[in-house]
Amino acid sequence: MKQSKYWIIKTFFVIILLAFIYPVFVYFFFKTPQYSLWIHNVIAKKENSAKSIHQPKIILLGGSATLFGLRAKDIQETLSIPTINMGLHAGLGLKYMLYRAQTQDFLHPKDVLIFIPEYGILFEEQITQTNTFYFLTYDRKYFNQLPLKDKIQSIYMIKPRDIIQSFKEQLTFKGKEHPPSKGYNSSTLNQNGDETINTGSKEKKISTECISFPENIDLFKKNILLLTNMRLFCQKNNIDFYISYPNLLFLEKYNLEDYYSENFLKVHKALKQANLKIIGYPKDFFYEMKYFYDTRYHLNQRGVTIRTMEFINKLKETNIPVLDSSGPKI
Amino acid sequence: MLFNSFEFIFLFLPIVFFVYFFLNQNRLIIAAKGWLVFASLFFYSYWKLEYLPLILTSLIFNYSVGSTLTSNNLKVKITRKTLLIIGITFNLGLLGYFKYADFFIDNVNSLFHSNFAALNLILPLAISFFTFQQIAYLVDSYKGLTKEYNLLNYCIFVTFFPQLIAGPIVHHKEMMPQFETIKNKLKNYKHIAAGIFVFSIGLFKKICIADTFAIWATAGFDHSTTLNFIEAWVTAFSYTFQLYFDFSGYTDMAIGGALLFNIKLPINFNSPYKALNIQDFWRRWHITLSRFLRDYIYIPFGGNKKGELITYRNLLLVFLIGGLWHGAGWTFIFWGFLHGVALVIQRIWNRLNIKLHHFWCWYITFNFVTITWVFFRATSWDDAIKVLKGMFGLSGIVLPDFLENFLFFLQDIGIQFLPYNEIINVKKGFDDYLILLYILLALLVVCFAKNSVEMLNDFKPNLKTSLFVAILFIFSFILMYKAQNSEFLYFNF
Repeated sequence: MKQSKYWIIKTFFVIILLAFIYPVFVYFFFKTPQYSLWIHNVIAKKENSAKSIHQPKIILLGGSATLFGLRAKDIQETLSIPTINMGLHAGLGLKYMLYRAQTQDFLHPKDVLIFIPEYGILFEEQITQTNTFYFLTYDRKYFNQLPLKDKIQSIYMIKPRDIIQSFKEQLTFKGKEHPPSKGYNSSTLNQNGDETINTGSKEKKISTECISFPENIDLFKKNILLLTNMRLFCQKNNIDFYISYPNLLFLEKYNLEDYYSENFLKVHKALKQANLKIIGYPKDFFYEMKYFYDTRYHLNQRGVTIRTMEFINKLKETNIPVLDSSGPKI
Repeated sequence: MLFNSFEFIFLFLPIVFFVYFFLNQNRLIIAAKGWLVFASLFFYSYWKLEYLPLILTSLIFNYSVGSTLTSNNLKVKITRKTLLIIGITFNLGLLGYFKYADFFIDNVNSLFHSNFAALNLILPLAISFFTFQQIAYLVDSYKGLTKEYNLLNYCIFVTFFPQLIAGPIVHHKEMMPQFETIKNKLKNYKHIAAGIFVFSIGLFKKICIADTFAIWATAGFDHSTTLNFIEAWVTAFSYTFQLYFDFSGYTDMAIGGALLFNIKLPINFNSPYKALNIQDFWRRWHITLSRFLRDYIYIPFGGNKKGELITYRNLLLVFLIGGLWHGAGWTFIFWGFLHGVALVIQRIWNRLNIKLHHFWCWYITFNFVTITWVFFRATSWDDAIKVLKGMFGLSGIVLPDFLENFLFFLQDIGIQFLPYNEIINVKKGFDDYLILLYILLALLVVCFAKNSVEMLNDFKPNLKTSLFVAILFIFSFILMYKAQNSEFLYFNF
């Protein structure tokens, strides 16, 4: 009996010890230099391009739907205003994208910031596997300033299997991204930050499932608050801030089922209620399968051309001061 | 509340445990029992409060009928047998209404082209389990196998939270004496240690193994329109292992949780995938359900005492009912039918006295079980056919290209060779190229490793087991944190 009692105490002690050791171990030793390198290089390349422009410009901020959905080069040429495609990786999350926009000094007064979040990042937690891996590898400064709860949540996102992967990467990492034939690569971006590799269609890879809307909208409300804060930041810094919707694979169900129409409307209304200026409506940016590259959010070059033209028309319809003024143009 | 949730492990279970033994230590025996019932009902209604009146009604009705049958003190002029029939009819009626009404309406509508509206009832949690448990109680009371207990005791018997939701299905006579024993009202560290040990194994099975296989089973069954040969087998094996580790994991947690309160629940699994024939399988899989079906359906219908043909009929009947018990759908009934037929074939085989090597016995049994699980899992015939077509090569056979040098001649019969990563389609949700390795590992574990009951029997409280348990808990907590609150499969039944 006594032996069992000590065993119970000992076991609890070991569990507590391991529960402390695990996050400390992860914090100090977990890195995914290979997995996160593309994201790191894309961010660096795009932010440097944006920083190098010293006149009013358009920044298209978002996840990979923006990266693979719009051609900033065309917008720049048509509207004669410098434009940067700041499409990153949706897994970085809305909070982190907006954080970088506020802190990395690439936004200046009179700039136009158009934020185009994927639907997922509007509804989901801001801690994801992708951004946890990225923060612990390339942005520890950001990780360190997260609230303790978020830090713990991030670290417990990492599965034991990921740790094995991490060590494997750290041992074999040669400082280079995967070649474009094996994965996304920052070398295929043009000067405006647009992706150029997306020719043709890998139809088999594209999910034909409808996007899902959450039943619990608490997270959505929290994320809208982040957008509201961004609006206030932009107001204070004389930056024109807009929200728009991502390109998405058109599916019959979106038209046939009330559930989807109602939910798209709900999203639109919620953004409007937060006093955010909106460009377009979700259904304006639905496209057929033939225009998609490798996911339901990634257009191919044909799709990008059409989407960009339509987006330019929407921009023209929207009363954006910098487009109307005869201010500095390229 | 789920066993695999932080609120259960860190709040509910410790609070219930400490208050229960505190009350018992202070000789507040009735209060302790009352506390356990209250906690169990809280545990039950945590999902949906609407379920609570149903279980309470069922409890009170069955207790009244059962105690009348036991006391032999009928105030109205009906025979005990009539009372038993009324009791069983009530339970089956309740189950039928909540679980089978829409299935019945659906079938009537398609058979007679009528248009009766579906009731769209939400299946009350655990109704199949507590109904069967209470039918067993009524029959035992009728046979005089239960002593008279008060309502509080009866409530503990039915609602005791470790076994309430998904079994094991227990008998009154194996539970109540344990609650009555004075020794069991005191904390027993040996039981607590053993309980923690087996609970940790169950948690690990559910979180780390079952939920991993669930991803691939779901990918194949729910997210793919066609499956090639390898994908289809991956899907079927994934579900085979998901179901076993999920349900046996749940049972381990139930056994562990009950042990904390000095209650020993009957075992429900005994390495079922080691079975060498289908009868052996049913002696190892969901043992308490098999026991119920044998004692309360098979034997009352005559069992194997009335000649071979009647035995075959009884076997088929028991398994059709078993299939229907699992779910209101033709795929479940068909699954039960296949198992019934397999048992009949086995009996004939035994009579013919043909011997097979043990390996082939295992191989045929395991593959039969895997193939029949396809019907059990599929939500429609189309889904089942999709997976089976793939498994039997009717949607094309594609093999990994590293086999091409050895099997090139198969190209002549239309078999293709592709790079491995193109065969296992990530976009369909098969998110790991190592799936085949995991399946192989799981197969080795279920075939050669000790099961949790054997491990529990060998359990010794030493540093090795302490570390083992701590590691299982930590692994499980990490994954639980990520994929919060995945339900157990048997909650649907």
